[in-house]
Amino acid sequence: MNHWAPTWPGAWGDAWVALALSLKVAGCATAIDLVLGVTLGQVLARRRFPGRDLLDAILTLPLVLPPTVLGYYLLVLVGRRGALGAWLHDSLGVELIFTWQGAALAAALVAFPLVLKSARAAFEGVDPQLLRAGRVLGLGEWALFFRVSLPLAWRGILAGVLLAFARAMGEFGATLMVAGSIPGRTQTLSLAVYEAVQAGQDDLAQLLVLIISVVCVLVLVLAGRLLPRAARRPA
Amino acid sequence: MSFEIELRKTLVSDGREFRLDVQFKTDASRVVVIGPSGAGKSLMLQAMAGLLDLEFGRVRVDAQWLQDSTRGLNLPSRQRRLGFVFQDYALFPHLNVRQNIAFGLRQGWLNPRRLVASSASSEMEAVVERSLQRFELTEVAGLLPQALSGGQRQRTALARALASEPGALLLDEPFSALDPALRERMRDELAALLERLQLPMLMITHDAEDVRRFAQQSFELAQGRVQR
Repeated sequence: MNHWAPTWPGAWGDAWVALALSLKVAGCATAIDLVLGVTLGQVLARRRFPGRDLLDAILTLPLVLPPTVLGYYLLVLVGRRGALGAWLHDSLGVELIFTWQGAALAAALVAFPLVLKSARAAFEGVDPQLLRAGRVLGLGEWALFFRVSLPLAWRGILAGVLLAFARAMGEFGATLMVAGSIPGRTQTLSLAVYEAVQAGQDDLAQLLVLIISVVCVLVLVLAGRLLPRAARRPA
Repeated sequence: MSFEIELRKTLVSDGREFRLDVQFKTDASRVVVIGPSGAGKSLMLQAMAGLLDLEFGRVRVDAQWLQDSTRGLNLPSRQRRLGFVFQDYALFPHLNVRQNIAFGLRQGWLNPRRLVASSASSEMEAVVERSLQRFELTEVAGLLPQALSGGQRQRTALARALASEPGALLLDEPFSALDPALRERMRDELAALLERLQLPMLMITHDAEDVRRFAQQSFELAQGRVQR
């Protein structure tokens, strides 16, 4: 144990940089997932249209595909020669490859199904009779969403958001392919663990592992507290 | 006061087809439609309120046409100004009694406030307070629906449906969720209320007692059709 102590001050500095970057990347990824997941979750829960099951399957893919495959797709799409990437670079000057924004995009993609699944389930748990009641009482669809659907579904959605945040914190494969592992710029906690182990910096690796474990446990405890009460029924 | 209704819709669920084909016209202001469960009563009521996409529909309440497929008229639910009491009341579980009653009085993306400011009270708040008094709900105004008794829930549902002064009242089996003793009392209350309000009312039920108590005219519905 003693061999830890002398090197910790330096390790702390590296760890803080990686932690701050991880929180920034995971936070942005989760924000993207929240907006897209709630929108698409509501659509999948409420609308019947041809190809709905196929769309659901495609949107769930990130849950089962290897992160390296997702990273490859992203490279093809947003790389300098990719369709979207070329447009982003030429018209907006935005570069996603080897940047923290690229890491956030990768993390958002990998964690997306977690928000989508819970948002869809939460919206499906809202009794359609309550929506009918709202319509008859004079509400339009947007007002109905903000005054009935969202207040009844937010616990389930938030639980999914927290899971997505934890997943984004731990993202490795897709992030590495899209953003690389540049210390201080794109090297998140999980990438820093790998680099530390490769470089034989055991004390740094231990510290990083400890930090990421504690953060993820906290997030999961919070999610667990929200979930059981997620399902609320009309009286 | 009168109703004129013509509704046609074919529904398919689990491979079985159900055809709703309801047509009646009456000058009565209190109409009861009776029929067994599965006859299409609730569908009929939802269709009247604009909650169902129809193949063909004509709905008139008094002089007001709400829907007329022959003229391409089809008001959305929110513009039909109908007071609707759902079978299970459909009270908003996240809103207290006061908020439930005020729900339709407030437009926009925010729900009515949980509490009333003791001093300044708007016109909307005055309407809600009067409604709470009239339906004897003042003491439970701050409670969520799950904490209410069966009778209080029904009164809340009625108060909510009537708060925005609808052009007619639609009732979906309003007494079926109540035990027999309470059912009698709530029938008396509703009868007295209708006497006071002079509002067109259409009720659906499976209980012949409701026909006896409320109907100026009654229709029998079976397998999606009005029986002659």
